[in-house]
Formats: sequence, structure tokens, C-alpha cells
Amino acid sequence: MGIQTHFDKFHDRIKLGRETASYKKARERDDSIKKEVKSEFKDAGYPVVDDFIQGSLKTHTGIKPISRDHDIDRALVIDDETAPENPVTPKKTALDVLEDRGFKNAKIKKPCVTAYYASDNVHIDFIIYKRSGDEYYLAVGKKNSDEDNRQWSPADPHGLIKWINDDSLYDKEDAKDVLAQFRRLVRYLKRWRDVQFSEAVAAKVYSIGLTVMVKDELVSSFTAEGARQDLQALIKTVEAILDATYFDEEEPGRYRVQVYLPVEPKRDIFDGSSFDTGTQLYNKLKRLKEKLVEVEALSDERKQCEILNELFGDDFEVPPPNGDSKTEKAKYSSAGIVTASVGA
Amino acid sequence: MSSDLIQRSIAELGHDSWLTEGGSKIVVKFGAGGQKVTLSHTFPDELLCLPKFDLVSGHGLGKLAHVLTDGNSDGGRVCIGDDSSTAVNTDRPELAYQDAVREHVLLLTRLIEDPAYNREEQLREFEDHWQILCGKKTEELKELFVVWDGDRAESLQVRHPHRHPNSGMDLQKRPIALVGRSANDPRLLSVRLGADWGTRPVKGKAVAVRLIDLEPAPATQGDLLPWYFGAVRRADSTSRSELRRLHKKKSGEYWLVFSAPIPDGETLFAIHWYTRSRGALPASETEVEAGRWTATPYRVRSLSRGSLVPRGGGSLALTSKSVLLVGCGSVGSELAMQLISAGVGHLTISDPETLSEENLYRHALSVKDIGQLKTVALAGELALKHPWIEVKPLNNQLEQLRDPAVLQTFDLLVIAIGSSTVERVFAEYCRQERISVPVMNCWLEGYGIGGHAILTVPETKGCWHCAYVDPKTLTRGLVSNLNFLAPDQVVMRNHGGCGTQFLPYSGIAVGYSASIAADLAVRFLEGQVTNSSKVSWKGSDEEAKRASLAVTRRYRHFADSLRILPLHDDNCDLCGG
Repeated sequence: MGIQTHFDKFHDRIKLGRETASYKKARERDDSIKKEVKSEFKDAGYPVVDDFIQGSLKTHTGIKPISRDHDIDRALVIDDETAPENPVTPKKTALDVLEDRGFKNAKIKKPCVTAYYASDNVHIDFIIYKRSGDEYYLAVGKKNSDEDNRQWSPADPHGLIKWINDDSLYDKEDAKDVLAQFRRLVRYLKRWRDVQFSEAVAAKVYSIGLTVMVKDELVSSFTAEGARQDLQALIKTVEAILDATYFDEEEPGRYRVQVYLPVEPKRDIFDGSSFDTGTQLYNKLKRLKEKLVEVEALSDERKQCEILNELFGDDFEVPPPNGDSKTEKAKYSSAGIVTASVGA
Repeated sequence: MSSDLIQRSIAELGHDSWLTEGGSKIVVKFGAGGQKVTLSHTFPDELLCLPKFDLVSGHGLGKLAHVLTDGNSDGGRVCIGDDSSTAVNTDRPELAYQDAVREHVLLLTRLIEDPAYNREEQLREFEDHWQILCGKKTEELKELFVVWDGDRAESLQVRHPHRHPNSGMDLQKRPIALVGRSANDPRLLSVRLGADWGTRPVKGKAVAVRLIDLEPAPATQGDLLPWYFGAVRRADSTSRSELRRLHKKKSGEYWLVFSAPIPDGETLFAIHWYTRSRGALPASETEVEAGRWTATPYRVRSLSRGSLVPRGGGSLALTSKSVLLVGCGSVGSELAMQLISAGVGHLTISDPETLSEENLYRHALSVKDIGQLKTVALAGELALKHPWIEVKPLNNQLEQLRDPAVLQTFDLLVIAIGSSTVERVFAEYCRQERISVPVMNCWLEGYGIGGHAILTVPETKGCWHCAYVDPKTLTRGLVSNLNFLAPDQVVMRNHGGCGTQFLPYSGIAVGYSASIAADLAVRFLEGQVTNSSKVSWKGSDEEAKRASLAVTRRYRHFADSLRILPLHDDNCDLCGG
């Protein structure tokens, strides 16, 4: 059957898309809150001129959370001319709406306003921008931040999405397949992070950081016939990430991770990140690569899946022992007729 | 070309050399075996081959290998190499001459100073020396066609040259000898037809003789008789028995065809005994004189399998192999030709179709075969072209050949029908019935973009389905993942309705496709390829582009044309991971 089929199954299980049922429910929540926030913004004199979903849903790299809630990144854009000087002001307006709806755990974080819906396992981040022409500025600051710690910081939310979704660097004819492999690899690594790190550390191994590293260092892999080889691609890509300049060994065995945003404000995604986060990420990536190489060398599919299950969690299923699944293994084509240019 | 410059460059080698005859000739002297040896060379108008020197006679050196004498002297043209395998520096002829003289001196010195080497080399070129005895290359050249493997002594049947030979047909102009058991061998139909064997009278008594040892060929006709009587004493025991039997039969002429070992293998030659009156084969020079016998040396042109197949680039190891080829379309017919050329001895071909004029330009058959069953016509063509083969025509389609009792008799089954649907059904049959015969499928794609062959060897990794795993869905696809044109495109051309649809491809594409398939088949049959394998050739996509056809990822990245690769695909659900 081949290990790729198991990767495919794993991917199907972890993939979060617009059609995912639990996500749809989260979107319904998001829609209802968004409507109310927009109304309040309008009343406050800085109407929302645009809103969009950003984050992994937009870049097709979202995964279903294991124990955490669904994550929706909702961007709200107000016009520069109507935007208050204090970037925390509209964030407070959003917070008021959330609190009025009875969500006591809603709070203002530095880049966003966040709210949890425990009953639905939904977590929405409102990210507020002001727009001046084509330029965007992110509302940065906590509830009580003084002037030094709050600002409208230059940002490029659309540029980031565009950069992640960009396939112009790949061979034109292969671009679609390579981009799809990139997205699968990001999903694998995000699930690997959720399984391999404690919840606290996992929260600091930012998805956008993993995404940028994979995007930069992607080594795609396909068979000569064009079949995807995610295992080989993952091995080579992780290897390339480890060989790149993201990890700085500031002290023996202690690493600092630095990944810069490819768009404005081009800041270090892991700015302020601890040695512990960098070191764990480095060591665990290294181990991941070693285990994947081990998997590649094995010929027994079940043994391969056992290792992958240990790396990626139970969504990477281990098939039953040989002989139990012979009949279900037959994979017939779903096409009825396909034309081909052959003769003899 | 400056003769002065050449002379100076030869002088640099340390040999005496000078120009004569107004600078048109050069003479070189060097020492070997304690005496001075003289070479001469007349400059040609234009240097087009290796400069060749003559060994000047009168040295008393005896017979030397690689010196082509006229039989009456010890001098002659020295042969230092074959023109076709040497590249001569015509821009700097003085260097070519320097190297040539160096080679001549090296060779002659060794031949003169090492008699054992000289003898061995004379034996190696026995055939050339024997040919000199047989006369110059004219219509009078004494040549005998022989069909004898040289493996054991036996009686032969010799037929006279044809009374009215077709011009240019050597088989009819020369006498021809077949071992008795070959006279009706169906594998020699082409020889008998070509020679018009049945209409030609028998010519004397004949026997094939094996010698266990050989002396270098006699230098002149005058040396022939003592040389001959010395040679027959070295016949093996069976040959001596055959000769004794021959001595008891009176005749006006006898043919003795000899096989003898030489350093590189074996050589064949013949002697024809003739007298106006009848008598027993002479056993001594006295009997020769008494019976007024004349002995004439004949050069043997062998039509034996053991010499024809390897000399023609085929493999003797394949002559015992049996192949079933299903599909005698353009690729199949070309493939049949190539398999036979490679030496495959037994070929069964199956196809129910007849040849039509539309097939002609890319088919191995010709216009005279229109309307004939392709298999019958092809079997005829093959049998006419190649002696020693057995071709059997069948008229079955692939699906009708699903019979283990039939299939298991072959060493290899080759399918060239270009129908993945029928091939899929057949592959599944072979898998379920555990047919142990290896199967090769081959096909080409339209628009000159490429062709493919896959070999499935049971009990090895890789199966027919491996070549059909859909790279997108990783399921059992309906079209091969080897293909270079993307599936689901309008690829057929149509001249005048549904019945006239055809896939455009050229005879060149047919040739390439047949060649990669034949190569894979031959390598398998010879034991060089033992595992399930695949091979493709990749052509230009220009024609496909003009037809607005898309190519596959495999096409874009493929750089392994003609390379035999493992067939196994990790994603095949039948082969396992």
C-alpha cells in the first residue's frame, strides 16, 4: 500500500477546512459576535470598513485541535481617518461587547482581543487594523498599556497570506502539487507540535513560525511518476530547517529560535522566546528527523506506522496486523473511463 | 603531405630511412632477431587510412603472421590494424607515419624473435591465409557454403552450383553443403529456398571432420598435400571413423569440411578432391598421383547457427528460448524482428488481424501482404530472413490465451496490443491463477512523445498494477503512470468518421518502442535482468504542444530514457509497501 496512503489518511483526519463541522459551528459563533462588534464600532465612530479571516484557514494549513479549542482569527479593519489615536480604544470596545455577552474570560492581549466559548470549544481572536490606502496598522497594546507600550504598528496581513499561498517560485506545472505538499507538511508539523510539547510550550511554538520555516526551507518530493512522497519531503524539509539559521546556539546545548516575518513589520515571530522553547524545538525537530529517517528505512508498514503514531499521535493510525485487512486494501479507481494516448 | 617531413619524423625513431623514386617511396630499416629488416612504403596521393608498409622479401624469415604474402616469397604487406577501428591524424601525417612505423617495428620484431607467438598469430589468422590459397576475389573464388555446427563429425550432402543462378545470389553460385539431418529442417527453409536446393544435383561424397589440433595454413599450393595429410592425422576419433567410411566409397569427387581450434575459437575450411575417373579418397601423396587427384582448397562460408547468430550480434544463449508475442501491429511486428535478430530461437506470434494498407508505413510487413493475417505473413518474412528460427503463427486475441497449459510452455510472454483494459484483465488473470511465466507489456504513445515497456517477473517485487498506480489518488489507475501524455484528452485523429480514428505516431516511434521492449526482453532472457522492471524512451513534446496536449509530471522530469528501472511502486496496494 505504501506509507503515503497512511500519511494521506492522517492528513484527512487532522485537516481543518471550512467544511469541517466543528469549525462551521465556530464560524456561526464568530459571525454573531462579529456583527455585534461591528455595530458597536460604528456607534463609536470608527466603522468597520473590511473584515476577513486570517491565519491558517486562509492559508489552508489549519488543523483540528487535539484538546484545545478551535481557533478563528477574525481581522476587523477600520479607516485611518476615523480610527482613534489610541489603538487600545477599539480593542476595549470589542472587549465590552464580549463581556456584555457574558464571556468573563475575554481579554485584551498585545496583538488582539481574545474570547473563549467553552461550550463549543471555540476561541476567537479579534485582530484590529486601521487602514490608510493600501497600508495596514495593527492595534498593539494591552488594556492598561501606557503610551510607550501601545501603537498602531505597520502590518501586512494580506501580504503574509499571499506570501504563504504563493506558488510562483515552484515550476509552473508542478506548482499546485508542491503547494499542496507544503500545506500538508505544515499541518503535520503543527500536529507533531501539539503531541510532542506540553500545552504551555506548544502554545509558544507559534504556528506562523513553523509555517514560515517550512515555506522557506521546503524540499518537495515526488516519485518519478508524480506521486507525492510526504515522508521524504518532511525529512528533507526538517533537515533543511535544522541546517538553516533559525537556531542560534547561544550556550552549549541551549538554543534561541528566531524566525522573521517575511512581510511588514518583519519582526522576529519568536521575539522574547525563551531558551527552553528554542532548545526544546531544536532537539525535538532533530529527533523527529531521526525517527523519520528510521521510518524511511523500514519496509514493514505497520512498524513504520507505529513510529509515526508515536510522533504524530493517534490520528496517525497503526493498521491491523498483516492479513486482517487484505480485502479492504484493494484500492480500485473511482473513474469509469479514462482516455489515454496509447497504441502498439 | 611532405615526404621529407615524414622521413625526418621516422628518422627520429632511430631507424635508417630514406626516400627513393623521386620521393614517392620511403624505405625503413631496423634490426630484429640479429638481422636487418627492410620495410618500404609508396606514398598515396591522399592519406585516408593507416600507412601500410611492405616487408621487403629476401630476408629468409620464413612465414610470418600478419604479413600478407603472395605465397611465393617471404615479403608482403604488413597488417598492423584494421582501418575501420583506427583514426589517423591527417592534419599531421608525419605523426601518423611515425606511429605506424613504430607499430610495424614492434609487431615484426616480436614475430621474428618469438616463434611461438608467430605460430599462434598464424593460427589466429588461419582463415585469411587459407583464403589466399583459395584464389583472388573473383567469380572463380573457391567458396563453399556450409551448414554444420562443427561440433561433431558427420556426413554431408553437397550440391553443385546452380546452373542458372540469379545474378548476385552467392547461395546459388557457390556449392553448398548441408549435414544430412538438416536437409529437411524447417528452420533452414530460407537457406534451401535461397539456394534453390531442390533443383541442384548432388556433388560427390562429403564428410565434416573435426581436427583436435591445427598447423598454420600452407603458404602455397605446393605445400598443400603434405599439409593435408598431416592435418587428417590430427582428426578426432569420430572423424577418423567417418574418413575410413569415406575411403571405402568410390567417387569422382570428395568434399572434406574441417573444423579446427584456433586461439580465438574455431575455424572452418574445406578441401575438394576431384579426379576424372572414380576412385577411393586418396590416403597418401602416392595415391594422389596414381589416381590423378587434384586437391583444391575452399573457403568455407558458414551458415551454421553457431557462427551466424553471434557474428550477426545475436546471442546463442537465446536460441533455446521460447517467446509468445501477442499483438503483431507496428510495434509487435518490429519487436518480433528484433527478438529474432537478437537470437531468440522459438517465437510464437498471435494476432487475429489482417494487414491493411493503412498499416503499411509503420509496419514491418509489405504491400504484398495486404489482406493476409499479420501473423502468417510475419512468420513467413521472419523465416525467409533468418535461418535457424522457428516461428509459429496463432490467430488468438490475448483474452483467448488465458490457458495455463499454453502459457506455461514459454520463457516469456510479450504483449504488444496497446489496450490497457484487456491487459489489465489479463494481468489480473495471471495474478489469480499464479501463472509463473514472466510477462512483458509494451506500448507507445501518440505524437512521438515516447513509449514504454514493463516486465513482470513473478515472485519478484513489482507487478503490472505498479505501473498503473494513479499518482494523484494512489489507487489502481486506469492509465499507466509511465505515460507522458496526460490522461483524458482528445488524442485520436479522425479522417472520416468513427471507424477511421487513429492515434498519430511514426515509424520512428515504433522503432524506438520496439527497441526498448526488445532490449528489456533480451536482457531478461539472458539473465541480466531478474526483477520486475520498466523502461521508457522520451521523445520531443513539440507535436503534442501543437495539438495542445498536456504532458504529465513524469514527462517533464524524466531523464532516464532507455534505462531499466525497478517496476515496484510503493503505493501499489497489491505489492504492499
